[in-house]
Amino acid sequence: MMVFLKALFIRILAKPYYVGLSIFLTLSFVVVAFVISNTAETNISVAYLSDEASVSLDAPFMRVKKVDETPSQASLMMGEYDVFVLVEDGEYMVQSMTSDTYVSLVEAYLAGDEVSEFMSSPRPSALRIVGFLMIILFLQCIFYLDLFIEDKLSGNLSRMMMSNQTLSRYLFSVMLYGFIIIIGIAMLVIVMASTVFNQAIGLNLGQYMLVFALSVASGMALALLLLSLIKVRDNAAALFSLIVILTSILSGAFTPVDTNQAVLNAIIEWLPQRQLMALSEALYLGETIWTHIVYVLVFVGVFLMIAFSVIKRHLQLGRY
Amino acid sequence: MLSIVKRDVLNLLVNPALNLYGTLFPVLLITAMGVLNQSMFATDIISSYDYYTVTLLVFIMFNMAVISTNSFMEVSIKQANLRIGYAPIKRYQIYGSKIMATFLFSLLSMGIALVFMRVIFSVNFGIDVLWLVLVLSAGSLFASSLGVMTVILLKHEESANQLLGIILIVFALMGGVFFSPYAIGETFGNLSVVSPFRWVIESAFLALYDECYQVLFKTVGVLVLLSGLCLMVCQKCFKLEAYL
Repeated sequence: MMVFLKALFIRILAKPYYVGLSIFLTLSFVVVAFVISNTAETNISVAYLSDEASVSLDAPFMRVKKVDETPSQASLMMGEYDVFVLVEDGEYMVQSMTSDTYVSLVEAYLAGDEVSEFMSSPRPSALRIVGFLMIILFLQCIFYLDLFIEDKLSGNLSRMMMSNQTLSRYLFSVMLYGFIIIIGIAMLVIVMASTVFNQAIGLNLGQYMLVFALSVASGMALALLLLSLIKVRDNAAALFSLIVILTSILSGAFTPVDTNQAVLNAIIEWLPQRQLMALSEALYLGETIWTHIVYVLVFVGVFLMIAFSVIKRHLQLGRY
Repeated sequence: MLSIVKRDVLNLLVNPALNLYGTLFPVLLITAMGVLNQSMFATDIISSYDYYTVTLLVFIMFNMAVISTNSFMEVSIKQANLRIGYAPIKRYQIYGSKIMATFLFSLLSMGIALVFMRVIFSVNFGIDVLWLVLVLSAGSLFASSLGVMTVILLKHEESANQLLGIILIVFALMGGVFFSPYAIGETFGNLSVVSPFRWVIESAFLALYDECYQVLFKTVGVLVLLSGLCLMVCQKCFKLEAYL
């Protein structure tokens, strides 16, 4: 296995932009996660236009900004402002492009009703960091499996299997080298943020290591499965990216998601990213973590077994 | 050059995977995101389908960069493409035809997706859908040029695809394709202006719902300029011998 690993590391270092891009993306996402954690706001963004000197719009759940002209519909659609309040002659006109709930909430507040149940607390920084990094850790997995595709297309994989090497040893190596690079860069960035820049990271380094390791293992398993099932690499990569993005968003990697649909929420609970987010939350709160770990490991195991069987079958049929 | 473009467009049209990617894929994506986020657009003014038709078509348009790398140097057609290099034609016609073919292919895909969304989901395109078509076309031209330029610079289609794929996803996440950038906080929302996805989406919404066209014209101008820049890099760096 060491022979495989050594050869894989030498080959990937001959393509410096792979590692360079990994460093750049990981660093960028961690910086963004910290910037957001330090300034995170979960309040409703309210823009108001009024000819009066001051308007009583200072509820703790609101982030209020006085504007000089009516905001564009586009800015309301893109969420720059959740709600626009026009104050004329002491009368309020409340408008939102996206949510009638926000309109009801602001109207209730302006009418003097109790609205404290709508207030939410900011997400802990650890969950923000994990959520942001998880997606980039997943996306990099298919990137490093490029060497597997190269070996497959060039016939090297078939040749290697003619020697005394086993397929499982090769596949384990080709995933392990990517695993080491991805985890190494992510941990390095987290250590730097914690020690050099004195940022509060929420979890300890061992806990981050656990979450990152399970994330990369899941990403590698899914990527290998798609690459084994789909012949054209570009199609597999496009599908992989799409699956990762959609499932990560649904799992609440960026912001908590509630679809208001019981069935969909139940399905979301089965996503590995959801379990990874739940694992991070459990680590942060000091709760039990084994259910989440076992679920992710089962997911990884099943996907790898299918991928392994498919690749082995293709090799036996001479398709590589 | 016209005959090469015709051939390249035909190559793209007979590729079932690319056709699915250009037509069925955006429709499925819009449907999925529309259903999932219905509750986030609970007003009569705009539905989740209206929002995601615009944002996800922008996403697909920028992803045409990946298709242009395929049409240029995909393993199965690379050698055939390179043979053109021995014909008495100008150098720019080799890569230019791929850019043009991808651009035309993307316009066709976009047209099909727009008609489908209008007919099946009664998507509302605001004032006039032509403004959306205009800015998407500019985005597509830039993406097609960017894809070919990246292959020329990296000399490998696979590497170019991987790089572009991951960079496009990152910019899409930042630019409000899947969720509002302000959902994560004002800071992230302000940071998202670095994403070209955000420029196109915002300018499209401004034109479609506010009748404000200045930003749209600026965005189209910038995208056309960037396309020109990509073409200049292609012309300077493209050397046929490097791909043999």
